[in-house]
Amino acid sequence: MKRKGQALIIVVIVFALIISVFAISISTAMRSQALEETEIYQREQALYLAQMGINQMIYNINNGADYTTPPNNSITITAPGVPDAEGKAIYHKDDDIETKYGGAGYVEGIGTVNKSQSQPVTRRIFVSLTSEAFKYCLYTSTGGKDGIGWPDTNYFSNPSYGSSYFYNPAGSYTIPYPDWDWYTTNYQVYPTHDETKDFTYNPFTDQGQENVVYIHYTGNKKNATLTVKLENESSINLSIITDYPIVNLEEFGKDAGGDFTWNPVTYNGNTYPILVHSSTSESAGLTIDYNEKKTLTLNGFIYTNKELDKISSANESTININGELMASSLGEDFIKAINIKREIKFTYSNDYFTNPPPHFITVTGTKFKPYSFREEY
Amino acid sequence: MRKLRNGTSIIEAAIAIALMGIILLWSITAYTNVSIQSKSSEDIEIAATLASHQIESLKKLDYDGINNITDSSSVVPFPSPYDRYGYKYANVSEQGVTGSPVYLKTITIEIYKMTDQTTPIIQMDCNFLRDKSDGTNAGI
Repeated sequence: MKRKGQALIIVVIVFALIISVFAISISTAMRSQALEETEIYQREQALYLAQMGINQMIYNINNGADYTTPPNNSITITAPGVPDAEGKAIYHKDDDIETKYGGAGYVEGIGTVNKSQSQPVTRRIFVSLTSEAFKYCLYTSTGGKDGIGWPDTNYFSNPSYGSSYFYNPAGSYTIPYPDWDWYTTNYQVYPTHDETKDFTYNPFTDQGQENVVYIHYTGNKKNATLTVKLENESSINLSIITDYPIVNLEEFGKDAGGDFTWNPVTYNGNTYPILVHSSTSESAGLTIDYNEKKTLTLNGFIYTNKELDKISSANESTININGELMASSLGEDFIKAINIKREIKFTYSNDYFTNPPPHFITVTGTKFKPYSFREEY
Repeated sequence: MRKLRNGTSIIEAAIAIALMGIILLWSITAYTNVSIQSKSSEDIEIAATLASHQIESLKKLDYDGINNITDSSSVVPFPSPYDRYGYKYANVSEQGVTGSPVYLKTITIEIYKMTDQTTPIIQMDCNFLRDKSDGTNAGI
């Protein structure tokens, strides 16, 4: 008879085991759900901390900080409310990554929660950054033009960003500068010439037409001159990169009627500027000598880190810049050509802000903003 | 006496009942603990969603809107059906008030249950960058 009692205890124990397994299963499931929900929260925190790092870096850049030179290319901020968390931002030049990012550079934001734990939660955001300078038809470090002349709308058209971005106000910022290391390793043609002397270059007769051409100067002459003669035909596809102190663009289509159209070259997925002129010489400058009563059409981005001027006395001419002109400053004759003679018309036909010419770098004091492209991991 | 011998002894029955009691007690305690944790994690999940929603709403504000934000003196309830929860702004700080083309405001969003306005369920840090010339978002 005793066995009946023992059987009851055994049944109870088996029942207890079943209940226990069931309870443990429920508990485990609910705990894992709770952990998942907590992790969702921590991932949200990490995301906003990554954004905080990026915003702080953009703020600093717009207040003069320069993060273009590693290892001084990052910042870390402590989260004011979330314990054991931080936001970090790292500045990268655009050539550090695939060309899909474009822009003047990009900022990588990293948010970390539980950073002292064995398994911290981390989120990353990549934001392309570009200068507002690329929104303008005309951008100079001294202001786009002086105050006299005809209404802006007579010679500026900017459907992408409107009248606010015809030209930058006077006394504004320094201009972005090209990533020279990149430009001088990503070209197609290097014309044979004495790199220490003046050089006259004709892309129609010399090597270069349809190509990205790099013309290098290694001499010490402060006013060494590169003269680019373009008289043979009425149009050309050409992009020039040069560090000659003085660059003169001359005789546009002179032997082909006088009207001339200059298109940039696309190489390895990058549409290059028509001209990138960068010199450290104090005597440096860029001049355009166009033809009287003729039309010069420049379909792209023109850049010089020195003064741009005209050297001819040609009248009743027209220069159509279907792109953007960026120069350190404008010479008196060029300003007159814009303001008084109304010879130069700008049409901002390509959005250089969201699709900026490749490989221009942050410069102190230039206003930088993120544009639409954004990726998260 | 014969019937008693054929059934379960009082001791055996007591052991069985005691075992059942222990199991039930353990089960109830465990379930209660897990329920509390679950409830707490549910609160955290809802609070995180509400905090994110609040941050995304603030992102839409221009310079003036962001500039006006200060530390909250009390918990503000969310609209129904989430009015069981509320938020406060804390640790509000700003950079670029003068002499900067852009303005940066840092805020901690604290989410509370309206029944306990002393201990936040969660805290979420964020900042907002605005172009002072036109008030637009200069960051992300």
